Amino acid sequence: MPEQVDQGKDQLKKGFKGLLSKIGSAIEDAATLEVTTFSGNFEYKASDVIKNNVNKVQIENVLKTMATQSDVNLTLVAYTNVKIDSDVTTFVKGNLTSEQNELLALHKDMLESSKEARQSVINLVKGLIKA
Amino acid sequence: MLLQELLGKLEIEGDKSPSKKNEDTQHLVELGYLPLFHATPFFSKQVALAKQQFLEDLQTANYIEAPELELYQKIGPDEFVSYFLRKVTDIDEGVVFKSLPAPKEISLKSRIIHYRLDLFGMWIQPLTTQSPYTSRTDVQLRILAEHVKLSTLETANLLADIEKFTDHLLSLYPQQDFILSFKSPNTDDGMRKKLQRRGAFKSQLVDDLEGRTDFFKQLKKNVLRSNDKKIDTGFLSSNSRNPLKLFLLRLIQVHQWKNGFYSGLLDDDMGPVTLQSTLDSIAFYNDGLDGGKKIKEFQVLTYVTDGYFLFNALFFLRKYAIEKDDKAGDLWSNMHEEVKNAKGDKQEAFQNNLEGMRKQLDGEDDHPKQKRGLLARIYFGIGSFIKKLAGMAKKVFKWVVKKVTKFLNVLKNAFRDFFKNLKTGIKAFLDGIKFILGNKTSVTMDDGTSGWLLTKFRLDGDVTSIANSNDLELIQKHIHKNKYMVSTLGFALTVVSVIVKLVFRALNFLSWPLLLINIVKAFKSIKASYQTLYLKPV
Repeated sequence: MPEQVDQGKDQLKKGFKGLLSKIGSAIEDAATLEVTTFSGNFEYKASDVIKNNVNKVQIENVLKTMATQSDVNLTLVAYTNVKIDSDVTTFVKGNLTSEQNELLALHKDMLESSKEARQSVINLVKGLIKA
Repeated sequence: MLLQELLGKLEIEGDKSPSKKNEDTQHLVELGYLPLFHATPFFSKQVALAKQQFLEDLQTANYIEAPELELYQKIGPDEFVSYFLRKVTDIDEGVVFKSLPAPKEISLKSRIIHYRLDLFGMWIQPLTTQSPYTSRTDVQLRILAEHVKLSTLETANLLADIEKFTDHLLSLYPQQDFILSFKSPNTDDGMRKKLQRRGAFKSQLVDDLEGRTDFFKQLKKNVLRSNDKKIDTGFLSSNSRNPLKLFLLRLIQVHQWKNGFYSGLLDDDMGPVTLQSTLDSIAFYNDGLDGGKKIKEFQVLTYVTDGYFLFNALFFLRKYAIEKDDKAGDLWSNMHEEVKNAKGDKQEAFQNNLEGMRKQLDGEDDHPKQKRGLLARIYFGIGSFIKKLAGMAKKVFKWVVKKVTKFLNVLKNAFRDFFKNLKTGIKAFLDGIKFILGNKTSVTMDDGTSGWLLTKFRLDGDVTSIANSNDLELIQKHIHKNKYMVSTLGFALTVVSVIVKLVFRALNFLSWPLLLINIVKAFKSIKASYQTLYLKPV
C-alpha cells in the first residue's frame, strides 16, 4: 500500500510541475494588450452553445461554425492596442449605426477589464516570486 | 499525472464535496424569510425569492460594512449569500447594532433580534421571527437585560457573542449562582448510578467556590447527604425553578449545541440527550487535551435523588464554554503539519476516513424540521470552536485516522467547515487556472431571441468580443457579468499563487490529502488577508 501512496505522490509532483511550466510559458506575452470587438449577422444557435456546455464554449468553436456559414458577415467594430509604455492605438469602424454604437460601450468596458485582468496576472507572478 | 488529469481530479473533488445543502435554507427559515413548509427542494423558486428578499434587506443594513459586502462579491455570488446568512445568524462573532428597530419595524435587524431571542428560549412564538418588532419583543429583551444588568440594546448585541455573554454572567454573579439543580425524570438507572458520587462532587465544589462557603454548607446540609432520606427535595425543587438558573441551563444547552455535542432540540429540557452531551464534552476535552488536568464526570455532575441532579456549571462554563486560546493557531494549518509528518499508511487511512466522513455528511438529512413546535437545526457558525480545536490538531488527526466514533458529531461539525472551504477553494483555484490556460470565456445569451455576446480573456490580457446582437440590455448584462468575473479573478489568481507556493514548499511530501488541506489552508488565509485589507480603517 505505501508503494501506491509513493506512486501517487510522484504523479502529483509531475502534475504540479506541469502547472508551473504552463504558468511560465503562458505569461510571456503580457507586454501589449489587445482588445478587439466584432459584430456580425451570423447565427450560432443557443442549442449549439448549450451543446458546448455554456461556460466551456470555446471562441474557436464559434469561429469554426462561422467559417462554415457562407453568409457570415463579420465586422470589426473596434480594436485597441495598449503597449506596456502606455502607447494606445484605437481603430473604430466608420459610419457606425446607432445600434453598433452600443457595442463601443462594450469595447471600452472590456478595455478596462483587460487592464484589471492583466494587473491580477502581474500580482500572481509577484506572489509566486515573493518568498 | 498530467496537468489535465490533476485539474480533472480536483474538479471531481470539488463537485463531490458535500454541498452546503440546507444551511442557507435553515438560515432563511430561522430569520423568517422562508416558511418551514417551503424548506424542501420542491420549492426552489420560493427559496430563491427568499434569498432575493434577504439580499435586498442586506443592502440597507447599515450595520454591515460596505467593504465587507464588496469583499464577498469578489469571492462569488453563492459564497456571498451563504456568508452573510451565516454571519447574521452567528452567535460567536455576530453582527452588532447601533440602535434597536423602531416600533412595528420589519427588517433584517428585527428578524435577527427575534432569531437570537428564539435561540435563547426567550421568544414566545417560535418560528415567527418575521414578526414586526413590537412591545412583546421589548418585554422579552427586558427579561434578558435584567439577567445581564444591561440595556436592551446592549443585551441584544451581547447575544451576538455567546462567550462574551457567558463571561459577562460569570463576572456578574457570585460563584454559587452557577451551581444548578434540575429534575431529569427520564434518565436511566445506569446514568444515575454512574453519577452518584457526591464525595468527589463536594471536593470539586470546594475548589471552585474557593472554600467551604455558607452556600457550600447549606448544600452539604440539605442536599449532599450520604443518606437519601435526609435530602431536602423542597430545596432542590425551589432551586430548580429560579429564573436565572433556568436561563443558565438553556445557555449550557446552546453552548453544547453550538459546539456539536448536542444535536437535539433547543428546548430547556435537561433530558438524557442533553445530559449525555455534557458527559461527552467532558470526555472530549479529557481525551483531547495533552497534559491538561483531567476531570471525572461525577466531579461536576452528580445525581442526588428523585430524578434531581446537581450541576457545577461554574466549572463547566469556565473550562469548556469559554474559548480564549488565540495562540493555538489555525486548525487546518496544524492539521497540515500532522498529515505532512504522518507515514504513508496513516495518510491513506486519513484520506479514506475523510472520504467516509464526506459521504456521511452528504447523506445526512439536514432539512430544517419542526418538532414539538420547535425548529430542529444545526449550528453552522463554528469559528470559535474551530479555534479551540486548533490546539487539539494532533488528537483530531488521530481520531480521524482511528475512526473514533465517540466524537463523530464534533468532528463532523469541524469537517463540514473543512469541506465548505475546500469546495470554494477548489472553485477559486480552478477558475484561476482556467484563466491561466486561456480558457476563460464568458457568454451572455438572450433567452427570448438567438442574440448572444461572447468574450474571451487571455492570460496576457488580450480580450476578444464577438456580438451577434446590439441589444442594449444584453450588452449591459454582459458588461456587468464580465466586470464581476474580472473582479473575482484577482482573488482566484491569489488563491492559485498561494496554493502553488505551498505545494512546492512541501513537494517532497505531497500527497492527495496534503494537497486538499493545502487548498483549505490557502483559501482561509487569503480570505483572512483580504478581510484585513478591505476592512482596515482608512
